[in-house]
Amino acid sequence: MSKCIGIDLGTTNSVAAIREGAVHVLQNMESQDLTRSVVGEHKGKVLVGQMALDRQLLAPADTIESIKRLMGRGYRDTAVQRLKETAPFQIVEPTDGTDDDVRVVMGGKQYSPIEVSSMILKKVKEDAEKRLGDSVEFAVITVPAYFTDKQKDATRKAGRMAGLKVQKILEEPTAAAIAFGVDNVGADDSPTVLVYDLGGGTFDVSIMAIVGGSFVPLNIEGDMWLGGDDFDRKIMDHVLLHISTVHGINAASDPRFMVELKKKAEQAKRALSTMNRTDIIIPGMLKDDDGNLISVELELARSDFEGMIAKDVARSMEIVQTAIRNAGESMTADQIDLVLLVGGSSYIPLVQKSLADLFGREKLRMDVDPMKCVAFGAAIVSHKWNEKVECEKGHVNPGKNSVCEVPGCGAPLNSEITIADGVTGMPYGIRTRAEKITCPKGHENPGKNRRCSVDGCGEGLVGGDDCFEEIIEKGTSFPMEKPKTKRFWTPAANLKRLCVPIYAGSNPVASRNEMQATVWLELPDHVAEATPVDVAFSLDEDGVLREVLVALMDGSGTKVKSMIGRGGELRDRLERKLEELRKRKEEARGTLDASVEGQWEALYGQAARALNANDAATAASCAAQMDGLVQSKEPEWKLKAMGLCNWTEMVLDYSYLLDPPKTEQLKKLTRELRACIERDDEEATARKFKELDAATDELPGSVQMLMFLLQKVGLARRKGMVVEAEQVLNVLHEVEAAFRANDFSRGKAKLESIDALLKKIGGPGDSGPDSTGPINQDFLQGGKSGSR
Amino acid sequence: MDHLAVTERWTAIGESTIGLMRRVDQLQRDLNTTEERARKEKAQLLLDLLEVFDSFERVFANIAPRLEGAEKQAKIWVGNFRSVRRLLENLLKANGVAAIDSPDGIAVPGLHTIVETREQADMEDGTILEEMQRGYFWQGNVLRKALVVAVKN
Repeated sequence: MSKCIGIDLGTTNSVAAIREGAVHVLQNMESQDLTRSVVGEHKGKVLVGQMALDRQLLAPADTIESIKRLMGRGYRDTAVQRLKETAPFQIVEPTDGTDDDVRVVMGGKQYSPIEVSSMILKKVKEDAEKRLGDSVEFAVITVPAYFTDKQKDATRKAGRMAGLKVQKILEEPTAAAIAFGVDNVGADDSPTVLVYDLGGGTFDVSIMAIVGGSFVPLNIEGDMWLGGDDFDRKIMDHVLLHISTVHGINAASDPRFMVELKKKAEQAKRALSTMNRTDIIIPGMLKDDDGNLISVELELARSDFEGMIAKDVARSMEIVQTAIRNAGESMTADQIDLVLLVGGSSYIPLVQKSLADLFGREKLRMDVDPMKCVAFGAAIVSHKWNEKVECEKGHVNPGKNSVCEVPGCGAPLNSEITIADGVTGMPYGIRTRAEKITCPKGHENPGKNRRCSVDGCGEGLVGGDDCFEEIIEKGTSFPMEKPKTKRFWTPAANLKRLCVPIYAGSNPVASRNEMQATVWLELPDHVAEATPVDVAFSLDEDGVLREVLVALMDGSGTKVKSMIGRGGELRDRLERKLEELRKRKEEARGTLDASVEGQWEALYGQAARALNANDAATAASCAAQMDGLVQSKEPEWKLKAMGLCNWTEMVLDYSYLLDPPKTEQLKKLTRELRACIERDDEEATARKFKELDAATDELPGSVQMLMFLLQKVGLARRKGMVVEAEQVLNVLHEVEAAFRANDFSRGKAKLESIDALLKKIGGPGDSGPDSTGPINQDFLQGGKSGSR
Repeated sequence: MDHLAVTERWTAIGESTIGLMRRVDQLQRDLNTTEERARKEKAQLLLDLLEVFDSFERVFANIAPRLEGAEKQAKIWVGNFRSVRRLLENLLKANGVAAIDSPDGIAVPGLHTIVETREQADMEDGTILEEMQRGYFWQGNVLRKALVVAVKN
């Protein structure tokens, strides 16, 4: 019978645990409890954990650390840019040009953070299987409480890619609380628990209430750059200064010595948790100018160590105070009933003393290994979700039962652990237009203005139509009983459709937050300005934004419900393409004849509906046609060249199937061809067209197969063959999944299985899109949020 | 004994047996845990002894070139310490600690940790130039990896 385990997927270390009676750690095949979250490449083979670290110096650019910091983030994200400054490996934009994702380079190939994390999870899974002598099928994987839905989804995908059925994405503080058993309280008790998690590289504080066995989250705070690794570094610097002072040697330049010093610094830190003094002795590794061996010997007192780290510990306590203040009205430290210490650095006496001073020593809990409690909690939940529970008489029951189901028995079973899984780490909202906006000189303007309309002023106005209106606030618990709704207004009369871009973040400027998706609502004719529009968000059991409802509140019943799919790199790119096409169309207004505008309008509507339904293939097909329509007044040679550029960009959506040199070549040639077109240089365009055309002739069969299927989907839809289009689309997804798993023969077999269907769809049909009125869509008018 | 009493007796025996089996299972787990803990503690003790052994090695490596011209008394002291080192070496061997060899001279992940790299155009990347700290096996597993200087061109 396959097993289910808990996995703490950490920034520095990962841990696997299982509940078999008691909970215990599953050691990796190097006989270590912790697997380093490091991935490297050697002779085409992927190395994970300590093995990757062993070769880090040989290939620092091909050894990937701290990949968790990049999960679910875009290239322009502050955290990504910060890591880019210090990481020895390359962090790059995806070669297909989007900035809402990020890649790392290892062994000359680009990998997404999901792929790298899946390699770590795969090793954890395989090692667990070897230790257990059984297959591991299910896992609960933990994530920090501040992870956004995109980051959680990325973690879930990494688990699936590693061959695991992810039972749940569980927040680390909740997992820790379960490991400590704080949910085992009486019916009348409802303790408030604070989880203080000081790990190697990050610090998190979570506050939750436990009510009737349920975890009710109250607040989360943290600092993702504060951790115990900083404390080791301070001891090392102290020793290096001592050597420099006493012996006049720069020991930092000796790599062998630094390896040993790092080890000794960590040992000293741990020793000072139980002793007041410790020795740091490194005999015979350094030499003086005469070649004599120097022994490094010094005593480190706990008080000296505490002096080194006092500032960092004080910072952590400030964050604790902030977390308490923001957890609810009038919450104070006295109202915290229990403080759970998690993470290796919480062993440090100064940390415990600081917490004891604030909360009282009797409230501190340290009885579960702080390095492993998160994995333990995950293992408990994993076991519960797939548990066989025995009652006191030995009858076996499904895990979800609360009493024994054997007739005549009815013995009580283990109490359910209910997890209200956390709070959202960030608010969710939409981009709106402010009702009013104030220019730098203090003049009030309508929100849609780009420049101040007051005579003699003309100052530029920014942000008027880039306001972020929260719908789900930070700290909202999930899952939600009912959606959270907020009312907005149409910004103008007679709009054809409304564009609702959705973001997660705290910046009042919407576009500076993290884009989630865009939903379009097509409007009936003659909708008046300031007609109410309700936007409702729902979070699922993992705190992921799953469902968005946009409804026109004029009694017409006009609404759209969109399921936000996060398989959506392609969707994200298409949303941006549509936005780009819309702007280009606006610029070309007045140069296109009515029938072309009508075709364009219909295609845009079709693309918007397709994206609402997560049908990226149809949207891509529409986008390609729209691109051609806007250029229709251009000469034939330009249209042909633009068409090739657009087609190549669609190929680049599958760049993971291409060699990086090929991807770079296609990107470069496309860029150059576009430049020739823009210069109106027909001759150069013809030359570059030939080059790019030749380059796209040499595509791998897998890419050609996917492009072929994509075109068939679009063709079927244009012909009104909706069922057939869906069938081909399903096959497209299956073929793509097969290719991602490097199972090309399965992909090919899938394609061959629909040969009859593809013949039925046939070649290009003669149906055309509907004709409708001109586009006039805009962002929703925001709430009465005042001037910005 | 009537039928009901027999059934009750067998049920009681069955329940008792289940209880005993669970107890055995738990004891087995406890034994495994204890054995594992003992193994880890011994491995740590051996690692600590290896650190002492390394220190001896470094000192003797430093002394060796200068011993020729040293005074007789100094040579005797060195000899005394060498005997202590020999005792320690034999103790480690007797406990199953064996050095990691690298016959093909290439750093192997899992056996070698590369702590420094140097250029050497006539050698392939990963070739071991110097072993800064010896690695060891124990009970069929790597007790400690070797720390090496390797080629990186």
